[in-house]
Amino acid sequence: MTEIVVGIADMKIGQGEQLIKTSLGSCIAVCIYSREIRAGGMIHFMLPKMDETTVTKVDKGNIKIAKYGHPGILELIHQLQTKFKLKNNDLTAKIFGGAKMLKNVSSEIGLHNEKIAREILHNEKIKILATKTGGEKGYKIDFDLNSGIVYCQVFGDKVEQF
Amino acid sequence: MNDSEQSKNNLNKTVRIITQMGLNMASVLFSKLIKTDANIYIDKIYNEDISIVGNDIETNNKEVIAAMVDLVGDAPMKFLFMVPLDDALKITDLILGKKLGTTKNFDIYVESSVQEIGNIMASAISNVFVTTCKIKLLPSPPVVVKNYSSIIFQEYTFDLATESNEILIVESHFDLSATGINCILFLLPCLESKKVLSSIEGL
Repeated sequence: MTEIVVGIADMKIGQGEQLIKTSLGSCIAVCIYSREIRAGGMIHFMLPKMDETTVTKVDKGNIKIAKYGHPGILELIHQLQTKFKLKNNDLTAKIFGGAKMLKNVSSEIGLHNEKIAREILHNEKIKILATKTGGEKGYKIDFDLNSGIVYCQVFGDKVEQF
Repeated sequence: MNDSEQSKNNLNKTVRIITQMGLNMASVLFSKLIKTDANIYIDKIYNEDISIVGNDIETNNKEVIAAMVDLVGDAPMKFLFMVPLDDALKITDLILGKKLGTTKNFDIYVESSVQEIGNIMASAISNVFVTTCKIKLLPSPPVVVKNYSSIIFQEYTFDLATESNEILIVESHFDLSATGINCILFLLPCLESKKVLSSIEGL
């Protein structure tokens, strides 16, 4: 099985015998999958939304769309639709991450990231099949594109299947 | 070479020289603390895209203890000391003057030892910046975290990655002779520091 690593502010798509891997702290990973054709993709985003100044930079090619939940998740859906000729009702989603790892940091970035992911998927009418979010420990995520199963390990815990 | 490349080279050279001076000082202080020869050297200085910056760590994802320190002042930077759990236990034995292998589990002593190393290293580096470059730089109290290396690295680079798609990384290694202990230190100048550091002359 081929392994594909998704870094920070990154997204990858694939099909069949492939495993998409990432690690998460306060970032969120959204895994989108089509059981019919065993294809899917993952985005690992850092921040909920672009602000107006960063939107301008996108036009100049300076900003990574995958850094932001919006429009990053929409771009992932678009890539899956374009490459595999899929429609939104062919797709399902799973959401992971959003931990608050540093206790002395007051930011609730993980919560905001999860909220935007849920909003976008709801608006796009993509069903959320599973979520594992929050806490104070990091996550290791392996997304098996052959089965659609996501193997999630929270630091110090056993691997769970979603 | 254009102005942008010239500026980048000057920045990398400045950071390399000052960081190595700081690490030399830190090596001496740390060797005294543990009564063992500690050798800290800069492995590489590089600009990396945020999406691939942690990929080496991702594929070699270990359980580590880390001390994160923010260097606050005229040229803010982020400092990270990361050590695999097994090696953190050995370092604790060295600091406490115990026989290697005495400390078996992560506890308050291990946490304090890693915190102390983070403090020594970050202070040594900031001292060199202050005395050599005449810029104000103060280390914040180290935050100790136990987690997977890739996740710690991600949280450590988070602020910088929100500001820029490319970050400057100083990666250093830390060997303790005859113990097999190998740790990693990272120093990341923040975006606003690059201008200040690029303008430093006479090194």
